[in-house]
Amino acid sequence: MAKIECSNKLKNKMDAMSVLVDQLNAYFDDASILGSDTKGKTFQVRLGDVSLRDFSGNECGFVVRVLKHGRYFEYSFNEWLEPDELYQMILKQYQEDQQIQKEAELENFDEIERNNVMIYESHEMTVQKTLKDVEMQDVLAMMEKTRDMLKAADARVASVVITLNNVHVSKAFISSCKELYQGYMYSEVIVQVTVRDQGKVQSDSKMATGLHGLEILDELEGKARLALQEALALLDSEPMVPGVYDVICSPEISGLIAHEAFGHGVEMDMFVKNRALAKDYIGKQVASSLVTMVDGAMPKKEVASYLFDDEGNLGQETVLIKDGILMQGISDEASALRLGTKPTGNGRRESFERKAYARMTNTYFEKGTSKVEDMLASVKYGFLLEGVQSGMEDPKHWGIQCIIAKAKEIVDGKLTGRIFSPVILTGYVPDLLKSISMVSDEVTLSGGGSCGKGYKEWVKVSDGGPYLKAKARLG
Amino acid sequence: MEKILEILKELKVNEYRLVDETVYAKEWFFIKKKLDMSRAKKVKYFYLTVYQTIYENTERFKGSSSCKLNAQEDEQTLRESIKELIKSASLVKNPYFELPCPEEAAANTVSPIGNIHEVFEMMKDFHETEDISLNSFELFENLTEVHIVNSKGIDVTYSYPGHELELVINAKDNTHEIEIYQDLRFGQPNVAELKRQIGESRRQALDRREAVALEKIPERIIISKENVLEIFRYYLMQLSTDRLYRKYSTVQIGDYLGPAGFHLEGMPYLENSSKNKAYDEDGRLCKPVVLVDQGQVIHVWGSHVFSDYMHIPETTMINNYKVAPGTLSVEEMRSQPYLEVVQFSSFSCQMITGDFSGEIRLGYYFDGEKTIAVSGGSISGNVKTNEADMVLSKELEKYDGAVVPLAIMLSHVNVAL
Repeated sequence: MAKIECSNKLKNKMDAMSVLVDQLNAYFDDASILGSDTKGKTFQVRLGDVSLRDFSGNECGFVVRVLKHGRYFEYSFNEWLEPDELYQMILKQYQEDQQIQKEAELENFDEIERNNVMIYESHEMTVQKTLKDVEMQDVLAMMEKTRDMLKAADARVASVVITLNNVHVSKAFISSCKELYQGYMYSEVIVQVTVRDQGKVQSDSKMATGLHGLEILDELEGKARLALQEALALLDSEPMVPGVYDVICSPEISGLIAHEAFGHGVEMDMFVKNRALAKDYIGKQVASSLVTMVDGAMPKKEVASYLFDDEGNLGQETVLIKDGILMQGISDEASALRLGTKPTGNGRRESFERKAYARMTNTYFEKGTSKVEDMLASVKYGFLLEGVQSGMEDPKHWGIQCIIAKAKEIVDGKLTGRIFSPVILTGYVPDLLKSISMVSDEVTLSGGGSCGKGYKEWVKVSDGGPYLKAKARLG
Repeated sequence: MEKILEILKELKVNEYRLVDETVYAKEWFFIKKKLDMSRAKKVKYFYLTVYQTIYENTERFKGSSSCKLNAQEDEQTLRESIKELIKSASLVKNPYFELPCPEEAAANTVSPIGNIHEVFEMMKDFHETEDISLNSFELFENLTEVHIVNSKGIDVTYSYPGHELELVINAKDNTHEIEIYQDLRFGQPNVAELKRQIGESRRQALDRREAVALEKIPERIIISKENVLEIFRYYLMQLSTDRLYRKYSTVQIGDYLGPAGFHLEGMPYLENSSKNKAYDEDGRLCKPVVLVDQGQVIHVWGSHVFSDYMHIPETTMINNYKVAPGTLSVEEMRSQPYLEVVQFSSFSCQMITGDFSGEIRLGYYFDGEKTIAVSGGSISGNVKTNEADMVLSKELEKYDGAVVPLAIMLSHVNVAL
């Protein structure tokens, strides 16, 4: 077992960060600093080449947030100077910004009042294996062996990509009343297989993710075989016949629906801007009484689990929908202060270089009581939906778009072997959620993707749930 | 940079590429017309790639590995990082290639950042009425400075500005309120052009407010506005050397690609683009190139490494591109019953299969007599399957780093009501 700690680089800076915060507090109404040190490796093996490089999200830097006259200003930087010099630099940046505002005669939005709670906490974790326990050449050799197995398995294999990301995240947060640090590791292994036959090309990918070290590679071969099998099956797929059908959503599709429907739909910075219909539906029924939906950095151990968010608020478990009733949203700090609610530990940044917004963490439907086989047996004609390609939220109008890799036909309760691909699921969110009539008894989460706010601000999230039976419009 | 170069020399690293990149940014976040928050940023990183030539029997291979270094790393950390890179590069046995050598210098390596105050003024002047209001907007101003050196003597610098204006417009009546989302990216602020684009979004917002569910499916489907970029991106990807090398694409020089008469070209500089990079990541000059002419593939594009892997003549990287006008005017496309989609939830095209789809947020349905705004449902199809019937509009439109036909007309597309 290997202990994953907050990096020494950050821990050694915490005293100096405190000095800087004290200095800033003498001029500003409130000040805080987040230090972020993310170090990871990406191993990638393809049919024609191999690469071993730093993880694209690697970073090391700081963001200072100050509050003056009820308004936040932030400065992101990655060249640490003495606290005196940093103080002067931040003051200069702030004053330049004030000058721009004055020249442009900009009006300010509602003031924010500070609301500090004393917290001193830290979190570190263990994994089974890190790159200190396993040689890099052994990792590459295992991935190359799997690639060669896939290539040899079928002449129709045109391309294989196997990616391993192993990422160590360290964060430290200091304000006048908070001193927090954390270290954690997540890993993901993704296998994509592309097959070509008589001019037709199809692709499928499978992944394993979690708060793990290199033990994630134990899942590589199984995922690879499954990706190959599914990609080959797609070669015989047919175009979807548009219509409204009974569907059984696999856990990854349940997760996609949770994420796009009432994940984005309850981000409370959207409440402040009046961009989310959910604001007016708290306490009202928005889903079938079988539906309970949760978001949180704490309840599940997946890629978006942490002790504290990027604003120094502790992660928690937030029940979004309870028995079909919309309960509450997820919030960053500024939105909570303006709405008179409590931050839920969902203030997240793409990196120390970007602004914090209200963002999801691990978002999922809770389990029900049905057995998957009974759910399939209950469908006269419909589809089993599998494989996430992408999704898009629409919190203002409660539309939903889910692009799904495949729909497996069900006739009289049995899978026929016919596959339709690709599939686009659309509709009105409450109609879709109210149509949920069966919920299986086991929850699975997956964290292979990233979540954007509109078309930017990408953060790591996981989502999932049980199998769900619903009625959906497919195209 | 000198410290890293010294350690590379000390550790006898003969082949390397070192990129020094500094990004300066200012960001403003507004709710309605009022400033909610502002930010500033200065972030500097070094991106170091170390190459190793590997000999196996009589064959030569080239390994490489890359890392991102903080400008302030101490000497010991730098030395350890570079030692690890050397080890990693020796494990990566890829086909042999030569690092690029110095060549002609770019004529233009610096673009002005422009005047952000004009954008503030424009947004303050956003005319709000009983029907239309500005919900919120975010404005980003970036300046990126790049210095690239390699072990073959390349030593080039360039800088480029980039802006992003993300805005949300609301339209309402007595019964409901809707929003239109717009994400505009550009090199320098061109207020006249931004006003035109925002004016179009205002009109779309009013139309979406009145939109009804689509009830009939017409034969003609028109995809217009920036949604068309996704289709042209598919064609660009078919022509990239990394995708050709990795067998995602099977296109060859001389093959026919795209709709009849398709013309596609890349260029390093396009007025007001945020992608005007003088050099690629290897420090090679970005050059103009005709990729497809009269529907026939003339050149492919990509990095130095992949052209070497494939033993084909040197290719260039592409930052910006143009597609030539098509054969029908938009007015001609709209002369028979059609569904034109101008706003999707997110129109996406799968770059391997060519499958495209999107939920309709705002479309216009013409039944031969009248046109109505519609919303809801989806379209889906496949670029290759639908290519034979694909027609590009005569009118062109510019979106940041691309100049492309304003509309694409398709037939036999799946529509889900």
